[in-house]
Amino acid sequence: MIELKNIYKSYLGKKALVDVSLQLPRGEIVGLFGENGAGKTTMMKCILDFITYDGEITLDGQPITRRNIDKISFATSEHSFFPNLSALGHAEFYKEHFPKFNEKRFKALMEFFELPMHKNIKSFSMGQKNQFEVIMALSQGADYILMDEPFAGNDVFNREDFYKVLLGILEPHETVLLSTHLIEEVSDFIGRAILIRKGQIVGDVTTSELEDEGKDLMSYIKETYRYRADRVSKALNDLAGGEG
Amino acid sequence: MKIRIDFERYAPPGMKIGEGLTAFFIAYAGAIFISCFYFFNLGEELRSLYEWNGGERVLIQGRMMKDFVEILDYHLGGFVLVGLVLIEAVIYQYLYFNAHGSKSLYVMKRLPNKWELHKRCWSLPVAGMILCGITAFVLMLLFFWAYMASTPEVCRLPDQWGKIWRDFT
Repeated sequence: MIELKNIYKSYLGKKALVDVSLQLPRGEIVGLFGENGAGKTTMMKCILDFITYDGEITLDGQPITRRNIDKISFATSEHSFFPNLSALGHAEFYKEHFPKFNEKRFKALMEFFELPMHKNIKSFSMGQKNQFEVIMALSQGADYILMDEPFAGNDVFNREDFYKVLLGILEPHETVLLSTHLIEEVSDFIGRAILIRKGQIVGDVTTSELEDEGKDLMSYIKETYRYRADRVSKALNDLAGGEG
Repeated sequence: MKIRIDFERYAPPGMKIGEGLTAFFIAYAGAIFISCFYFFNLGEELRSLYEWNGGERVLIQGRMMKDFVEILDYHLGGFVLVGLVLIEAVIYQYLYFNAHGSKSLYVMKRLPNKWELHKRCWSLPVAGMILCGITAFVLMLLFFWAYMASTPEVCRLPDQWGKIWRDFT
């Protein structure tokens, strides 16, 4: 389990995370939702120990260090592959450095998405780069897979394929923390939704709890964010009125 | 026994190191070539010790040879320049992990072996620096030997070896 206890992070005095506490047990697919700048990426970077923070983050009860970091993988829309290395070169590199690298899964996903093995990744299209980024995160052999808006730039069919594949290949001990804006698309396959706003966790609910309450994910998010549906029509009316 | 070094294991993954290695060896050869101009200086200084007397070459009375360090001058400076370029190469290799539209630094930071990133940034430049240092030292010994062997004892100022270290420290 990944556990965050009272995490605070600020950038030049601007609060990015405020008293964030949550638990990510094994075997869950968790959606992380929030506006741009809400703190989703910062939270993931704290988990990965990429940035300094105040508070405590543990992985199976231990602090996250180089000894257990291989239990976490990361796919990001910023990309983290080696652009001048081929897919095969990546597999070799990962095999050498991540003892649980899942070569079978890597090959199966490469084949499924019809990605070339011998071409440098920089020659891939944006969609292919995103796919490759996620393939590496899924193949690392990690128990916790963090994904930060991994499908930005992929078409809807492609994303659909990915969700299906993800559901099909994940093993019971694998946890996915998926940060995305595509709420409706992922609502069918996530088991839990965490909402973050201005660096604070403002909602944390399982989809079964939502079902019990007869709510869907989108309405829960809108409710939590106090989304005002009339805001747009009011603005348009005001504009139209102003012109008249 | 054939020893094969896989240089790519000591550079950022995917980096084309062939061009870098070629550039290094050209610069290294250039530094050796420049250092050889020392022998022109030495020859000139040696000639200045003599004069022609009745068709015979004789030592000029009281003329002393310049110190070795003066003749050596900046002839080994090419190696220092190559060393500076290699320091720049280290910086470039760190930046490489954040370039070309991907932050592969994230992968390097997630590796169980925390030295892998530094190994891939420092190894080849440091190896180059060591090679330059050893070559410069061996050449200096060779030049010193040539100086001592070719300079008549009476024209030699004392404590040449000691002056080298005083000059460097």
